[in-house]
Amino acid sequence: MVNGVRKEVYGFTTYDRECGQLFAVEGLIAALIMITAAYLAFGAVIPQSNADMHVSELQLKQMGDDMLYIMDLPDGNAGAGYLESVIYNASPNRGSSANAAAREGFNATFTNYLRKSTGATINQDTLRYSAAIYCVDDSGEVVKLPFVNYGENFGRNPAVCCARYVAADDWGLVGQSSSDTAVRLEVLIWRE
Amino acid sequence: MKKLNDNAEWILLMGLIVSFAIIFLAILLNLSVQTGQTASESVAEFPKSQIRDLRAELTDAAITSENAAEFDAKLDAIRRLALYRDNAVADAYVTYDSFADEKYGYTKLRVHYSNGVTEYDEIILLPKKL
Repeated sequence: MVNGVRKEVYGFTTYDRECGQLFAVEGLIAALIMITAAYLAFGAVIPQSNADMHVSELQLKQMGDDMLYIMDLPDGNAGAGYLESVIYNASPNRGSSANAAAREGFNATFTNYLRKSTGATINQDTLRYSAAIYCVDDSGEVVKLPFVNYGENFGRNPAVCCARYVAADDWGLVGQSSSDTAVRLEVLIWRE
Repeated sequence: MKKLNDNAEWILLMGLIVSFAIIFLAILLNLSVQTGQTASESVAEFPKSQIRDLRAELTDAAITSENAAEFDAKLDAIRRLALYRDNAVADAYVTYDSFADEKYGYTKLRVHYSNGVTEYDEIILLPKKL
């Protein structure tokens, strides 16, 4: 039998050379696969988060919270921790010299802890912070008082916020009444 | 069909197997990224240090204060600061000399913290020698 010769079988017209049908089906399937692949590829998004960054932020936050915690611990069986004396002197009605001493003392202690906690040499002093005190004024509003800045965050590096409530004895804003109250010390820490 | 050259069937089959392996690995990679993120986010969002801090500060205030009014002055500041700066509701209720046994008098301190996701309540008994 010669290929390509028309013949009549049960009233239908058929061809002998039908090997091409298989290639047509294969081409169709390949096209479907390629379209599906392109659809998936263009529709895919890359998750913009690597776990490493969260880990380092977590570490930084834990470190900052711990540092504020150990600074607030009483030195002995009773009495006030170091942070309470810092806050006591940082009260605006205590006068500018006491405030400056409080800033200096806090800065010295906190930077010391920062450098120790990285476990590295002093050459790798890459941690910076910015501290502020939040307190409640006579009208019941929350007021922010800038406290200490160590470095500027020009690079907009991601910072974590660590905070601690500190008991503040005889605390008051300038021109307002003073009382035994509590303030909130917030520290933003970032890597330079 | 008889004339088709089917020597490459094995190559096709191996290609299929390799592609399945790659898809499987891609799924694993995707899952691991998301798992790491969810885990560290849930750790970062849990207010562990806030609760510990609040608890420590209120306990301290209850011990150092002589009466409920003195305690409430400190509590009011903490409550406002928590609301404005921590987006959390902090509250406490203290009962001085709630009850006593032979040697100690007990002050009962109830602490409440809620930031909408995590809620924490505790009753602390502070003994004081009579």
